[in-house]
Amino acid sequence: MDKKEKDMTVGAFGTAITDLSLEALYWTDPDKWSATFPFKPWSAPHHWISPADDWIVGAGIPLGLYALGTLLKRQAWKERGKGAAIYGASMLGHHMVARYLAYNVPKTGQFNIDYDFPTTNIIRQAKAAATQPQPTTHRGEFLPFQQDMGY
Amino acid sequence: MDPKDKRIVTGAFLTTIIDTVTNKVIPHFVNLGEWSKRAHPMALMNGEYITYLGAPTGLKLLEKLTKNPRTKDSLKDTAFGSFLYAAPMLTRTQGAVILPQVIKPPPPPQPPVSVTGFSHRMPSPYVTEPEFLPFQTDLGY
Repeated sequence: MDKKEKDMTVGAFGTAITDLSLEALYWTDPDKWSATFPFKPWSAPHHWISPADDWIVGAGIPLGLYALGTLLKRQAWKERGKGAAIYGASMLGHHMVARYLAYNVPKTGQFNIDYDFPTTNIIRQAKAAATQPQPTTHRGEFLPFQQDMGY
Repeated sequence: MDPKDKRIVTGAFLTTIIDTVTNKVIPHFVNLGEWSKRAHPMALMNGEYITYLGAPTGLKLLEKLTKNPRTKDSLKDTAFGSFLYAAPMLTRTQGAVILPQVIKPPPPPQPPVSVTGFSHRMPSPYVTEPEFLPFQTDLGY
């Protein structure tokens, strides 16, 4: 493995570990973080777009490393940025294809997206709540508990 | 982008496409049996291990078997690109499956405790057993 390959490997693994650290942060309190930046899912109909944490890792870190290399005129940092971009762009694409399928294409196989993307349950609950008929309380109508009272 | 970078990117994206198609797209539509099974609750799908370990190893093996020096060089970079996607992705995905079972979220808030020391949700022993409340037992009726 030459110098260039070593730097790219460092960049890719560094990005993956940052990704994993954000994942760990999410699991410290899933209820809190599900509704908070950077883990909050995008609103409908854009659920399939990865939340901000994936974009920070997949685009922010590679661009940051490459910019650092350009500013400092250090080839090593540029190579680290390239390694980070290879992991980050692939991860973003991979996750968004999976999310798109899960939310927009009826499932006929056994793939369980909840295993990979914990916030999917929240999205599913929100979708179910939006499609459920709401109780009507028009003026003049009796509410269900009043019907037994005889007036 | 120099030719080496191009070959590395080709290897990485090729592995990404194989991973996405075999582990996400096809299992979404078809039951793949053992391929999509998890050997353990903390394990990835069997197919994910095969892809993440098999793709870079397969390309490396192909490089070793190739005689043509130009193709050998090309395959070396492609195999490295494949490794550059697969190894960090395996680390990340494996970690993401283990983390929720290792990290314990904070406990839910407890219900308020009343002045008598009994929670509103706890059955009070004075109401059910014994039949008479303690302060009534001394009154003789």
